[in-house]
Amino acid sequence: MRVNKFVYAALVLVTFLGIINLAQAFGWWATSGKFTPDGERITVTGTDPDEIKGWMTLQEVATAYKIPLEEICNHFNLPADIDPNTQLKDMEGMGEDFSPRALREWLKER
Amino acid sequence: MTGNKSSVTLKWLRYLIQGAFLLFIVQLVVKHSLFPEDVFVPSAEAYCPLGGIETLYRFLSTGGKTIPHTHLSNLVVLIALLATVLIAKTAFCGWICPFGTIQEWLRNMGKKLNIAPNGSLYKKLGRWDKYLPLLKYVILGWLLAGTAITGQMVFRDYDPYASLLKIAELEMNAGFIILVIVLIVSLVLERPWCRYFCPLGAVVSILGKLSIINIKRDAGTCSECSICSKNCPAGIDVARADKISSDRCFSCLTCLEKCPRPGALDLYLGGTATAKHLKEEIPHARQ
Repeated sequence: MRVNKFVYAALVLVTFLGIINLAQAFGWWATSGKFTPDGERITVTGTDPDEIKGWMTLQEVATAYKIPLEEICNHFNLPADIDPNTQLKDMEGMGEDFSPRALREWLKER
Repeated sequence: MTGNKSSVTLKWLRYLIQGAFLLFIVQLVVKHSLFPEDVFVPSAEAYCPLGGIETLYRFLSTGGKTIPHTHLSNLVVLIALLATVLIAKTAFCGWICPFGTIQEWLRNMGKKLNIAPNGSLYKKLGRWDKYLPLLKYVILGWLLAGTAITGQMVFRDYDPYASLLKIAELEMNAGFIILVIVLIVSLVLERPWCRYFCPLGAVVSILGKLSIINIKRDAGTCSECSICSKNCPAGIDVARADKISSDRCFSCLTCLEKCPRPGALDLYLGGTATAKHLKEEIPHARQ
């Protein structure tokens, strides 16, 4: 069966945008790691280092994983006077190549 | 059909759709760079289906968790893309993908500026053009394995599209250098990233074999004038194919627009286009 070119274009758009809109309508949509699809703020649980994101603060991680701030600072050679409310992504490259990824790896090994 | 109102409209309709998706991504990039902490302004990366591919393994193996820099939205856009591929093959690449649009429009600009104006340069690449497209499958394999093993986006630092989306961060990494090279080469070659390196294109190519709508040529109606082949921006020899199954096609439909014989080239849902079928459906096809 032949398909009209304009029907083809409409089909492409309806399929692509339709699925996205449907997912949004059913609440199966999140564009930020800071909130769940239900709109609840995500917090650090301290159980899975892979949950650590760049927007989380040093203090949040230290509290959740029950590690003194000084231990993290010493391990990564971070400045002792660093603001504990600094987001991890803003500390990238500080000390001994600090990054959220390096922090995750360290917490897994620990 | 050449140059008639319907083909001009189709061409501009495609440009309009491409432009709308590109504009949507551009406004996200601008807003996110101006208000990076605003949770109501998502990163444009949240809309990239490649992120969905990268996070799929972790999502399935952990029961819903995603790797850093990806979200549920990436998976939804991936599903939307895969559904589009099953229906209309590479239409996502030719009608929606903003990075494909940028490359294509740069090539159009290159032609206007008289930089390699005479059609596709692919043939001049000879054997390179035959084997380079295999790289996108290698990249896809590396990306899938690397992401599954490390739980990190191993490709992100090399991804020119990711670099473009976070251009405001002015991060000078491999991805940025690749981006600059791709944009420059796009002035002389049609969609070089899509053709040779895009891992998403590799997924589209594999799954596109199952697409229910395809471009088919009816040998009985075709006069073999080769206008379609000469105008194909991907350099596909449309005039020698019965069904356009090449993974280089990005469904721009230029071949259909340029074909002077009604019914010689068309879009078909399922089945095979035969001369008999076409004559029944388009009685004027041979007139």
